[in-house]
Amino acid sequence: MLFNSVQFLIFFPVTIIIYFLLPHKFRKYFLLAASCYFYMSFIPKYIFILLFTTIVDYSGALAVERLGGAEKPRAKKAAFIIALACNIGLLVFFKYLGMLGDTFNFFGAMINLKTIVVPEIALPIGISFHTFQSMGYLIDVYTGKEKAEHNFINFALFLMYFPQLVAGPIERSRNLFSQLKAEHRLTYDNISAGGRMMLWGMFKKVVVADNLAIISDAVFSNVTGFSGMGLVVGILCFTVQIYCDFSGYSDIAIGCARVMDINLMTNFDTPYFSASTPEFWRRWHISLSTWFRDYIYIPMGGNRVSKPRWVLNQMVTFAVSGIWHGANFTYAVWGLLNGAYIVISRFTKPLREKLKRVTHVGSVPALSQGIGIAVTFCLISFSWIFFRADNFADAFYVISNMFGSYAGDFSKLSELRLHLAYAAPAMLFGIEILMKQPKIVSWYKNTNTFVRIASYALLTAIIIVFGAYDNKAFIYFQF
Amino acid sequence: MTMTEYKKTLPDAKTILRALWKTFVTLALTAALVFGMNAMMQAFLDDELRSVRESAQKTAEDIAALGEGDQTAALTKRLKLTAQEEFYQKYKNRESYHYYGQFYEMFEQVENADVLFLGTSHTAHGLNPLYIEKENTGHSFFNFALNGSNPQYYLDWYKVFRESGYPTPKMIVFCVDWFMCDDGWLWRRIDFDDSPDKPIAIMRSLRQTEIAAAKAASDTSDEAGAEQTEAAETSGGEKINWWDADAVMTKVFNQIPLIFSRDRIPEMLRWAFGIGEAEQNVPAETSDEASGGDKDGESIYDENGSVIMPEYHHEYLTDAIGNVTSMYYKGFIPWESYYDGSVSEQPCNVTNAEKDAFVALINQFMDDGIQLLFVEVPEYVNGRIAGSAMEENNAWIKKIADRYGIKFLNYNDELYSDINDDYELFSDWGHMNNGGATLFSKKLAQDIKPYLP
Repeated sequence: MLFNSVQFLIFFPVTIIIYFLLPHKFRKYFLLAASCYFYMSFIPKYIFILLFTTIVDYSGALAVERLGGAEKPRAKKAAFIIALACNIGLLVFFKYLGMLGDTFNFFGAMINLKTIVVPEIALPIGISFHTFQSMGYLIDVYTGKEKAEHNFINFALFLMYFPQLVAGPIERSRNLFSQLKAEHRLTYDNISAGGRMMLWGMFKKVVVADNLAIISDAVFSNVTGFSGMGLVVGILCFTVQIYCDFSGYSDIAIGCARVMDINLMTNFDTPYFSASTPEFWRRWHISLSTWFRDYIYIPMGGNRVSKPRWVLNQMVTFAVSGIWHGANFTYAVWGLLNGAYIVISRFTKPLREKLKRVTHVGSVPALSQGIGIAVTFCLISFSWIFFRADNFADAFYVISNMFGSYAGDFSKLSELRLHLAYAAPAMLFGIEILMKQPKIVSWYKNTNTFVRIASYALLTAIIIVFGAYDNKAFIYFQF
Repeated sequence: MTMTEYKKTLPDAKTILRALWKTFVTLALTAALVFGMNAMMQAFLDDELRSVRESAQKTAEDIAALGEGDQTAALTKRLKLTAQEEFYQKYKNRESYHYYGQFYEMFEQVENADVLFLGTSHTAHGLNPLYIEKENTGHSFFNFALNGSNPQYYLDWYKVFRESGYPTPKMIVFCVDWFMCDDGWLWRRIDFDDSPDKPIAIMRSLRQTEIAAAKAASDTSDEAGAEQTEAAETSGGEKINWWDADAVMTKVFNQIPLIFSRDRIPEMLRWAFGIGEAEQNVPAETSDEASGGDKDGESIYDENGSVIMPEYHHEYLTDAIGNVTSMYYKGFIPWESYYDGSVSEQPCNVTNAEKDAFVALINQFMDDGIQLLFVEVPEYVNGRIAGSAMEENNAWIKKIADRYGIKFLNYNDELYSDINDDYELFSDWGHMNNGGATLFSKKLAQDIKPYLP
């Protein structure tokens, strides 16, 4: 059941009504049942995988806690490693087996090894998200940052809570457990704030992302048919599409939870207005970036190490982040490229500061900021080529032909879709800029109720008239 | 927990009323915005129809100016066909107008073909009845293949087909595709063709007009009149299940011109603000003056003197020696697009529901005494990576064919030919272009001879 489906439009209000009508002690059972139904509406049998992860991590964390005394450190470690291995094993089996088989066959062919046939296995939706959320909890219990949850229903709900089940935000146990256990009331402020988030997320998804997808899909499904500006248009469309697709999902998820009086973590903070790549990665998919920071980068030593080791830490973290996104080496290159951006950004910082002083750009903060945003946007857009291309051949074709003369055929696309390709992002970024201005936000909050209602109505009308209704799945569902 | 404690956990009435009130006002304003724009779209579409009427009137005037004689009759026919072709071309890239001719045939029963072709877009663009009928005189053929159509679609389609009263064909050539049971890939549903501007609804509307006219002309108490009335009452659109949220939503949106014609919003805005093509539109009073009838007595207007939809006469433009020059022929739809032979990956996920629908469809055809033949049209085989899906699905189709004793001509397997290896005969890996369709149709014309009834 996609957030942008009619089914969800029915499911959500019904769930909210029943949830708030039930006495508090029954609510978690109902919410768990609703979450299971939500997940099973995709592929029912995969609920068993989720159940397996839940049981393994629930009992794993309990075992780690019970064996946590000084007298049994090895047993504690063994319990932790077994539980962790189950999570990683599940991920490898469902997500990376095909890639591993292809890699084996590729290198095996060089030494005349017999090729192996890997069966095609459908990827359970959101497996990377809930597995990472669960692993984060397990690591926190192992390192003593969190206590193990003794109530199985509470733990299952932490893992399966439907707004963030299939595409995050990847929540931390310390944020979600206490909220799921607390007694909530339906308040007007929550309905209003949550509804606004959901509406904005829906606009991002069905009006901006899904319309741009028509163009980016046309380009990337037939890259050799395009060249020069044709390819650049495809890249730019995908750059905005992926942001709106994923942040739109996050907004709807956060909005849903907010109506239930639960605050999920912010996942995107207008990342395309970042003036440097490190800043971009602090504002893009925040729940995943901080997960990698806390559970991979910092345990490796973070930045409190020698420069070569820091470079290694960065590159490893970003390579893993790349592979997390997809079972294809193009994703690894995408990750490594972004790691390289961070490394180069740090090493060139003195040079850039000097350049700013010499050219006096630094004395005009808005100009300096603007140049930074433009350069960062170009660098990130470039990296998306590896993310979106089906294979390296397509990616290298795009890179080697994007500066050539124009070639491409967009004539099959309707005029409306072509207009929406620039009008929808312009509206999106325009509103995002306005919402960054405290004075405007304050005016909007205090203005006449009718003006606010009229703006919601306009946004709803735009979604109805200009939205793409083919129930396109969210890109991040595949991860 | 006591009742008092429970009541404390419930949201207070003020909160609920406030939220409901603001939601209501927001939705009311949204509706006002959407229906305001919808009225503009309706006016735009009405105005466009008026321009069509003017075009038809001009054709009629040209015909009237020709005078008498055999040569004039030929010119008259040509003028009408040119007007028809122009109208058809105007809509050639708009959803479903491709298929206008097919639903016209179904409801108007011009050819009354005894051999029908069903299938997906691979067949709609790949099989031209022109070359089949040349080799197989004594039979008439019609291509009813539609893009994106899966077996479940054809189950619904067959209901419409039977409702239309089309003569039961002697044979159906079902052009099976190895991916036909993937309903993610083949997206078509009967309600997509059933909005007010789509072929089924148009044809039903015309049928209802005819029935109403007949009813008014004669006493309605006789048996035939009762049957016609019943037909008129039951042909009001496909029934949908209220719990099928997607179908309900499609049904609702199909009633709103702003939604179903939204790709035309830029044209509507230009029309509304008098930019660009606005001068081509016809003033309303012009259409009111339109009068029906032409020289050879075949009216191209309805009783009000208006051509409300394209006249699809099922006659085709020919050159001086009688060769058909019309690209669109008896349901065949040519599609030309440059293809460089590039390879694409085609994952395929068949569903049991589609498989069941296919078997149900076969049973229905068999029950109606229709002879069946399965044909898989050629693909540019090197242009797609389908894993094991093609082999597995074809094996399943073969199994069904064997079970029912149906001959299966597979042009991607045992009847593999040069067509499969030449990407210049294709518009993409699966759709033949006009050249490919011609070659294949000629080949099939020979191959189906032994199986024709």
